[in-house]
Amino acid sequence: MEELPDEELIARYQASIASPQAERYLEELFGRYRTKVALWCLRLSGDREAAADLAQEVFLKVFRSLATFRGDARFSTWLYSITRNHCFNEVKARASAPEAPVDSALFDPPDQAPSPLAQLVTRSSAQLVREWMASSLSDVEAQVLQLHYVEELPLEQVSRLLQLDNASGAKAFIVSAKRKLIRSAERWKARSQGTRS
Amino acid sequence: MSNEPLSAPGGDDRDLLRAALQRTPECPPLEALLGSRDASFQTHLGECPSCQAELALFHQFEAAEALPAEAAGLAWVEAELVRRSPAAAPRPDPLAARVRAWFGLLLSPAGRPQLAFAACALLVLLMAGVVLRPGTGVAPGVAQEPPVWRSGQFAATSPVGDLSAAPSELHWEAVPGATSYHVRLFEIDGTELWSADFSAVPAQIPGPIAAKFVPGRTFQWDVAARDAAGRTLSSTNLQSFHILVTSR
Repeated sequence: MEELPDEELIARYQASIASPQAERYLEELFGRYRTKVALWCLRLSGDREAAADLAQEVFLKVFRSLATFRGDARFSTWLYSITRNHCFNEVKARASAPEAPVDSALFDPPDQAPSPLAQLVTRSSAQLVREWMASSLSDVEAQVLQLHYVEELPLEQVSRLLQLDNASGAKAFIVSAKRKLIRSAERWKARSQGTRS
Repeated sequence: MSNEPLSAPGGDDRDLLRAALQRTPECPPLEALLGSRDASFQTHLGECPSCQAELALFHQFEAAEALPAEAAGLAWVEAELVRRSPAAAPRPDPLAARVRAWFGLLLSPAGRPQLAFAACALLVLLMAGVVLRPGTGVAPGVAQEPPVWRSGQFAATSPVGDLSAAPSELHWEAVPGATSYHVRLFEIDGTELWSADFSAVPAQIPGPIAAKFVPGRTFQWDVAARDAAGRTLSSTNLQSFHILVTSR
């Protein structure tokens, strides 16, 4: 059984759901992915008990849905998606209050005027900013921005998930990423003005 | 390229960055990004921070490389996942046996309440064992090791695994100081079939109960050793056996 690909295990499970053998297929899948799910949950929760709860919920969700798994994607990516979404949702739900914007003194002046970055790119587009990100940000910076701004994970969880062991964790990467984006925006603005003049 | 404003006057960087980082209709599913040699996907990946981040996170999930500081916590979580099962048979692969019964309950909707109840009961029992165990206190500032549970301190020895014939007795290791043993037998979904107290090994299985051991079915059982005051000294992990369907 150890040599069978995940998808073959699942196919056999689906064909034998009513038999005791079905448990063995689940057991094999559980053994293959237990560590991955547990580590992900541990990093996001930062707490052993909570991680065990999360991981158990993930596996229950996965195995309850396994009968309808169609094989359009690999089991590993399917499991990852479920783990990721379940954990992100739980972490967000448990977050008590929204965090203050990072480095607000630098980017969000007290007068509530648009930030320097926002002012510079108001005539641009999401595609333009994405290009700046792709060309100027490190992988970690891009991941931090993605997790914090799109997935809305608290900075503490972002730091743990990405194993950021620097003093200020994810916050430092957001600050450095914003600085890089501002420089990109300034260069773009300068080029645009030069072109028009 | 659109010239729509990304941030309304008074907006902040959060909205702007979120807009720039959102997945777009051009973003392929993760599956397509993995191992695809499609040049358009690779070009997109090189330009899309959202897809880059998603791919990096997936690789991190796949690698599952625990830092040294995470190792103890990870081991605890993994063990806890298994220990929450009422099943824990020390067969050739004890871990596998425990998980098997855990999933056995999972497979049956009727077993879910029993699973929750058994998990709670086991947790209470184990917590009591940890609290009562001398010398297990942890000094402040000392990293905690995975707790030592009292269950499984003696073994349920037979029947286990695949059987060609229905068993008539249950055997386990004798426990010093135990004056009685409480034996329980379960269906695979956690439904209790029978329980009884015995003063010594083995336990004779009543005929009407043994009659339920039909080929193709799996059963689970455990034993709790008790002292003269009725206190549980220790318990076995949940053991399971399966009656084979023999060909003629």
